[in-house]
Amino acid sequence: MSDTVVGEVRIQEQDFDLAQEYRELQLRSPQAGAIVFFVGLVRDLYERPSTSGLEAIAENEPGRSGKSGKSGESGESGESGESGESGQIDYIELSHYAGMTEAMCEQIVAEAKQRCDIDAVQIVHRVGKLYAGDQIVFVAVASRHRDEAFLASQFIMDYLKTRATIWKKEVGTRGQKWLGVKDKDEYAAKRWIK
Amino acid sequence: MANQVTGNAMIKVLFFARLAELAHTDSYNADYRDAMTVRVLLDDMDGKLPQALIDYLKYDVSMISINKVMADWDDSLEDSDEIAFLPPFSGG
Repeated sequence: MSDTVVGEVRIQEQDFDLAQEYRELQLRSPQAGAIVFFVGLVRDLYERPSTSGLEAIAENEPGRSGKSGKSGESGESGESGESGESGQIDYIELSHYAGMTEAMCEQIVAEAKQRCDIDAVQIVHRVGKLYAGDQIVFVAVASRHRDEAFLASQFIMDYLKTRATIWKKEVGTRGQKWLGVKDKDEYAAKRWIK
Repeated sequence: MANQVTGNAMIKVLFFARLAELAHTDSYNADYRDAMTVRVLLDDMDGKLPQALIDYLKYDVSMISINKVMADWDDSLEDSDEIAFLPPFSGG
């Protein structure tokens, strides 16, 4: 296993260039025999509502939106019981806790290193207002072996979705809605617990 | 609701995402007192910030950090600490 992992984490509003990110990671990992990368994109449909998450309950609790005084939230109560992904989003808005997000990502990279034989990691996560088709996140892992790179990139993405202080709000035809941790993401993250 | 600002020992409280909307602000300065925990801080905030926020923090899922490190409700606070209430994450 590599003694040190060179990890770069950037949280930024501006878009990223895949070729440039790839080249930077390649330069930082001259021993690597494989680079695996993942890019997350904005979809044009609402996320499927969680059927058991407390976040969904909070969204639809009678009186909750009225207390908040946010006019856009009144549209959320109509989502209760919907089972599909009907309705299109106009955009998503991502916010984060500056300083802590980077620290949490560094922790995730450190844990990935403990689990997998990897040489370098590059994480870029965008915040701000993003539209359908926009790039949200870039995770790349360099390793001497491809199976370790695949494994580590999957681990990092699973933890990034459930452990990093980043929040996403969908705004569209059904109003606006803050997303919580999805059941499938929580399940994906829990499979890594030793 | 206006922030409470004093010249005494203080705790800086941060709200994010849904919680910032419920609070109508993303930060709040609370008076610090001895033997203060996060739970005591929340009790002190009750009546000073929107009830929808207080209810969410008391009854819904949220996490806490102290000086950007994950913490628990019964952790002790120090003067000038930065406390953040964190709703469920949804990055990626």
